[in-house]
Amino acid sequence: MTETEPANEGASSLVAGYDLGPFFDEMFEAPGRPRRHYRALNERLGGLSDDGLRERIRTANAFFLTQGIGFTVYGDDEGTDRIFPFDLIPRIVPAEEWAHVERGLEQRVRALNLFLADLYGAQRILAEGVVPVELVFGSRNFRRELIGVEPAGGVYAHVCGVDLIRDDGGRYFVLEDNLRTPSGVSYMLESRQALKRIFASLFERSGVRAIDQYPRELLETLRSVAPRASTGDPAIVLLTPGAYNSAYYEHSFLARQMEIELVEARDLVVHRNRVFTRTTSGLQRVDVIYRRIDDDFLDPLAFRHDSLLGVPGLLNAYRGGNITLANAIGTGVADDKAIYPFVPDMIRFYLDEEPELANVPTYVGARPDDLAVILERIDELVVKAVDQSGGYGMLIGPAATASEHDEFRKLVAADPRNYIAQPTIALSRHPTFVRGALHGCHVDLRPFVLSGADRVRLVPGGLTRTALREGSLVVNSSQGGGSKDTWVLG
Amino acid sequence: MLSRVAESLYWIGRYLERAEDSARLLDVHYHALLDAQVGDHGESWQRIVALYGDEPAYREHYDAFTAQDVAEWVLWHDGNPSAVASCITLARENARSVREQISGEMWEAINGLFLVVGRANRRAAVRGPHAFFEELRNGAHRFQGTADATMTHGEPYEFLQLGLHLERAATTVRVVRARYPIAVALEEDDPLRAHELIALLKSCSAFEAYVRRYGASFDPLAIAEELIRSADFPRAALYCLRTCAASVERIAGPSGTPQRVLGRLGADLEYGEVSDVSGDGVAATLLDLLAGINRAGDAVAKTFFSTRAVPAAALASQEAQQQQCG
Repeated sequence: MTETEPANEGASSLVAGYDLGPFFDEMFEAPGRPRRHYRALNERLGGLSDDGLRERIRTANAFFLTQGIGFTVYGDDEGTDRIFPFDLIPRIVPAEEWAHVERGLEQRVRALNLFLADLYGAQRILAEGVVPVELVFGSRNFRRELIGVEPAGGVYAHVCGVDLIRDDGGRYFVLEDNLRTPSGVSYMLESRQALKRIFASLFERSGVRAIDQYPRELLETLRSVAPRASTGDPAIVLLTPGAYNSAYYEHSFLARQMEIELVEARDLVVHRNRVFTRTTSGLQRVDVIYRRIDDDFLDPLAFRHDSLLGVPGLLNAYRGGNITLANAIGTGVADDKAIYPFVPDMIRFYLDEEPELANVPTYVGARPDDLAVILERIDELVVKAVDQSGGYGMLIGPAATASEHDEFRKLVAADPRNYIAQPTIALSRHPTFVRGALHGCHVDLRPFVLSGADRVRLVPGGLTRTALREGSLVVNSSQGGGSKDTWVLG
Repeated sequence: MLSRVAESLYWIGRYLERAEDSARLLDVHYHALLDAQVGDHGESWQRIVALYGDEPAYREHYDAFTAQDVAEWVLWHDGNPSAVASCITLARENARSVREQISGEMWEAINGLFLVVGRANRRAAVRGPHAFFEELRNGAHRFQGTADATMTHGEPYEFLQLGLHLERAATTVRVVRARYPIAVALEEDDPLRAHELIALLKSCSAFEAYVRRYGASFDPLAIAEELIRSADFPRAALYCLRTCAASVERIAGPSGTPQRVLGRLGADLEYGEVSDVSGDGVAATLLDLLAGINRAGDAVAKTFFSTRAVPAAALASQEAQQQQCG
């Protein structure tokens, strides 16, 4: 495959006839008129023949196959890999837009970490009534065992995946924070590798900012939070649930990139309140664990007794300050749906600043004024039960029947504190190659924000996820979404 | 390196070797019987099963020792923990959990073996295992070849070799124990004697090597010498034990329990008399040798691996449950 094919050789009608719909389109400001930062890409696509396109798709698929990146389907014992759903058209973000997003993210993550430190410390924000006490103490993810325990550097959420969307005016909103075990970084990195192979010269000409430093940045972040007691080079490991977990590829990938040991619980042992790995030359001390295991499963002595994935005594070693866990135990209280509406308040409370990045407007059932709005406009809103996930306990007003509206009005009125509601957002769309043609698919963006004891680190961009079924709003990778490479221009 | 990873690599070596050797045994025996006189071969098939000490288990599932039944037992039966299919499945499971340690080509080789077993026509294979055995042997050799050529020869590689060679030593000893006494019990001029000795050699892939060194006269003592005490025939017990000792030394230095056990075993063989492993004393001597090899395996496990029994299904289920947001 060469980059020297003459332009317009059997030019495909790829870009012609692309329908923007009523949405904000990332690439086009009007039919046939690409935004300035997309002009070069538009030209390149227009000059691509059908063969050239097919070859690039084949190259990308072959790349993912040989990398072994793919989906683990539970029960799949065939030894064959499924092709990772990757779309070859990159999403491009101009420098000024990214600067705005980056400032907003750093601010938000700083506030969230301060919130967590406060919740497990003085609890000022609760004392001052900014966040309702029962939302915190009633959260499954709030860990009383950690009150008064200060993690190294005061950092709780070392790795945050913040999901961003854009409305029909192109404005960025935060849809959700992920502070426990956010994943997708390996898809982001491998998508970039794939794209560099298939649009090499366009990539080079475009001045795209690098992202391959992510593993180094993550490693530096983890090093910065080594416990005070550790001497010399901190020993860092990545704790994985094991090969049956759907994100195992990512665990293995990151461990290799950072050149740290990939361990399972069976490899760790707590001895005299310190953590060690079992090696062929005896016990080796561990200082920092990047753990991709839920809080509940971390320590069978402290949490779920039936956990086979945890290390007995780990919580005590953690409380003793002898081991750092990234992310810290108990961060889930801050990415709770019920807490999300209060994040802008946290920014004001801890930083005395206005949020640079806004939440999706959210009506909180616990607030009487909001409750009134929810009940009155239930047919226009997306209503979510705070204590459920995965689409359960959810009403999409515009798509529901009158009787479903009534049912939900009753539910909300009976237990207002358990419900929040948001207007439906017309998510931005991006041209995506689906079944042989370009279609507009809804996209979101998940940047990964790293918080060390020294500073916050961000690689430009993040994982752009697309809903691969037209009209679908589902971008989650375990439910059929795909990914695009994200280009932040310098 | 992590004990768990070392243990997985060690067992990949052992399982693949066991699978290859079992299939070879079966294949040689089939052909040996074809060449021999027609008669009741039940007793000789019984010896194959007894080779691994599996007779009681076998008898729970079968009444008699026929070619088809024994083949099925050795290749696939669920009641046989050392069945070829079982060994390959376990080798692959272990390989999957230490995927970062092995090269892509090694994974493809193991996976290829797994698919061969899965796709095999079982009825055809138990009737005439030669084609199946060839595929298995080629697969095993492909794995060994890619390991040698694409895996860094560091500690992980040494554990793989350690498992492989320990198993190989044990198999050779077992084969000699099973077939040798039968051969020497026959009269020297009985054509069946040579026939048995040739089958013994072929069961260890030693036929050509023996003929090159000793010529075409099949002398039991010389055969025992070649299979047990040769320092350069790669499937000989002494050769394998020395390879194991060298691996352990590269892993952990010259001193330690596994080093001592292996060193002692090798020295006893090297400085012993040939007659120790032939004639009337053979049964006892080879039994001692086998016990020694097991002791070496235990020493390796105790020194390098940690063992903690966890029910596999429960573990897999919890692993899968872990939320990975996104």
